Amino acid sequence: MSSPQQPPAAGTTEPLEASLYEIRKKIYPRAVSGWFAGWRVALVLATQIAFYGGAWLTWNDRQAILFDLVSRKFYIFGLVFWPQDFIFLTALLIISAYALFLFTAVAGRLWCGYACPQTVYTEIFLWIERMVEGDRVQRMRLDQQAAGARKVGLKAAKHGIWIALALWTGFTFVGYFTPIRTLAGSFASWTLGPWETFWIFFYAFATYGNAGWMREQVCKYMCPYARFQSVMFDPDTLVITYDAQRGEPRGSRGRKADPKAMGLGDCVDCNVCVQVCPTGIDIRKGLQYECIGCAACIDGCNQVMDKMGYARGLIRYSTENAVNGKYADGDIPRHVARPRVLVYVVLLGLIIAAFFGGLWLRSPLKVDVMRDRGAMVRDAAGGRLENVYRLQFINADEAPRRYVVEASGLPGLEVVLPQAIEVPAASTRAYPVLLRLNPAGIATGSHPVTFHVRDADRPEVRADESSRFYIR
Amino acid sequence: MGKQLMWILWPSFLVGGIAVGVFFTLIDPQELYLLGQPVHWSPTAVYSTGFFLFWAVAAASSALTSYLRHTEK
Repeated sequence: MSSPQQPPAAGTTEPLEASLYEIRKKIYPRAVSGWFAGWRVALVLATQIAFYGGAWLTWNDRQAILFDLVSRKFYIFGLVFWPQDFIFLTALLIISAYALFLFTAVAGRLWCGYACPQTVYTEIFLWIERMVEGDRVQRMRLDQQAAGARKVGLKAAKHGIWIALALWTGFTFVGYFTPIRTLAGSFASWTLGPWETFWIFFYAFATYGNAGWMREQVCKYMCPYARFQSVMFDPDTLVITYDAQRGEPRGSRGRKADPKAMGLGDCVDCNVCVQVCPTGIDIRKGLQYECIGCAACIDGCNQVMDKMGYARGLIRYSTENAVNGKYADGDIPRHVARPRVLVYVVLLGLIIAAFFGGLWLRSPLKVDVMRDRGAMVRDAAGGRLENVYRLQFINADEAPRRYVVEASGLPGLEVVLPQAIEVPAASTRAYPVLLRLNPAGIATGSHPVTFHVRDADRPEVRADESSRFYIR
Repeated sequence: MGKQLMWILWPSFLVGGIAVGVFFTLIDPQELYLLGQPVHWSPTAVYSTGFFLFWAVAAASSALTSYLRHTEK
């Protein structure tokens, strides 16, 4: 194995092998403010208020959003999902995937830059780091210092706040699977179950490790989307671009100097775009797969351009075609509606319509019919025959329901219920049901029959299930 | 070595998560039998154990792929 000092040998077939022990150069992103930074702060706040707060919302006297694994029911506000509703989960995943394709085709890695939990938590952990240790230069200096009381104190404070936040994140995460108020109660009385404790720490550890230590390495080495996003790009996709024609040749100069006389472009080579980059790349080398599209370099460069009195947008959102002069920057919006984007929009629209249509039409009543395995046919009074079934009723409503059962398929078929069919709110109950009939004139053997179940109070809520009736 | 571990543990973590979700959506943990005996653990314990089993199986596959990839001549 190679030592960290040795650069990977050029031209070898296995550069990965050579860089296995590469020690990561720690990146100290510099704080940046501006239009895009403002958007990122807004999105970090929005997603995290939704995440940390969402678990505490109440609906119908229960937690509004609860993935109750123990009783195998998912509650999302007024909706209750059962394992039978698996198709909706699948549809939701397909919708997410197509939405990602669409956003990527239009404007690159919007997801990565603004909404991905990896970015969001890295951003939050960086805020804490800045509050405790200061901005870029102060942090670099601190890391180079020998360990002393001040350094140990600052590091302990930073990690302490990180760990506290990570534990709260883990607690909130588990609170979506175990009712969070119960969980808070068990935590306060120190009676958390072993698995709950384990998952809180597991998620907290993942948050702390990913946002505190791994950071951009997750995007660079672990994220599959980062690798295949380029197939969704085309020359009309908005990407963060350095305008080399305008910027080069780069070089430092005084604020009053005339760059034309010095033979220089607009790039003052201040390196701010590199210093603010959370993945440590130089956008001036062109689009690279490490770029998560956070636009920090745009904000940083614009501030420098303002100071120099140059036009903004040396680094900006543009498309490959616009940069190559195929059309002006102002024409970019007209190139958004291209076949690829339209196909994504139509597919996405259809799947979303199907999802909500299915949700709207979803019956709050489901019935499962099982034949009693013990006895095929029983004799009843008056020469009649009985078949025994077990009907399972799933009431997906959040109110108790009473059901009426009828049957068809054979003449004179009679339904015998041992008791009224009542099912509590959002529950499953099974009842034995008898079908009775006079077999005179009907051939022996198996005959198809259908059970018709409907809500006693709302006849439009109904379910039909077929089964067999045996005559001997 | 660090990257190797990431490449083995991370994709298998994702696959393990998806697998446990699909498996237990289709199969109720209370209907499971372990060595001929019904499983008496709490659902949370079954789900958690299931997740780690799926993760381990997927990691074993990733590790083999990674080994073959790096011993290729």
